[in-house]
Amino acid sequence: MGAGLIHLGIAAGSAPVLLALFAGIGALEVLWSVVALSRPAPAPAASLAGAVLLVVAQLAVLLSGSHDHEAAEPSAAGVAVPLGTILGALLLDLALAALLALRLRRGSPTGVVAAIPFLLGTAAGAGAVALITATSLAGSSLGGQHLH
Amino acid sequence: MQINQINPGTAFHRSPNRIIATLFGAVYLLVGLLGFFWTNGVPFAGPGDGSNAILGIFEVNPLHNVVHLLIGVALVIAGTGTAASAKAANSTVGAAYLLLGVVGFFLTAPDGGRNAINFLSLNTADHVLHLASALVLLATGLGADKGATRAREQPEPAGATTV
Repeated sequence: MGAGLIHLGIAAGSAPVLLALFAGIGALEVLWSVVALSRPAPAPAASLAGAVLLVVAQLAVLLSGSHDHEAAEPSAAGVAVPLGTILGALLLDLALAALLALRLRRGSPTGVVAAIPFLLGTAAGAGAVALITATSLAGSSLGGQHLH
Repeated sequence: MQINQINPGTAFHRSPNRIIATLFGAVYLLVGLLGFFWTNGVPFAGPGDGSNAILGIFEVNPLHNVVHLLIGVALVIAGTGTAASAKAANSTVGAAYLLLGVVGFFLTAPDGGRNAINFLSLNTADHVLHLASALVLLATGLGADKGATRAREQPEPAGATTV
């Protein structure tokens, strides 16, 4: 969900062609996260493939030099994303890929989780995701950075 | 002899939704009340000058405090009710906070949040808190107490005999 929100934030400041791409990816990620919260992760193998694809694509953007530490200038490909913003999305997608890989390797957990451990885990995860997401969004066009 | 087959409901300590709704409700009620100590001279529905931040971190204005109080009351009522009501309240408030977490960036972008459009006097710390609250409430509301439904948790009718 955090990565989806960041991608939507990136879309808001992107060129028209990339706007559709980032908005599509972001919307898909948010939708997937809502479904995954209400039931066991849907299609884990396909989801893992999608997460890995996103990680690779974002790494390629980072390594291509088409970013800046502040408000980025657009590259030849038109990708203009501040470093911190795309790093946040990359980190969250990487964590998702790792969790999905673990799930595929070990299988779905069985049994009922007690209330307090569930809540502590949820709070820790939500705090980390919210911190990364808000910091990343603050560096995007939504946070007042003017991308071209 | 009448047999009561109605499920009496999920006990408080076994229901993540009831715990989180009551806890978050109490915290938001407290924050809503405390917030008024930092909003002296701040417009009811407009941005402050930065001095209106609870503990110097979370900016608020009177409208923001009222919203906190309303959400707090709703969550406490739901949390002290049934797991189904807490689940519904957590999911609804979580979705609203998620929306606010994103829309908030649009409200604070002009003039660094000092524009009149920032009617809740939000700042970055508020965004983090709103997103974190949204994720906790949504994860709990959608992911926990999956068997809790209104039909299964109706209070025991008067005169019914439990066997």
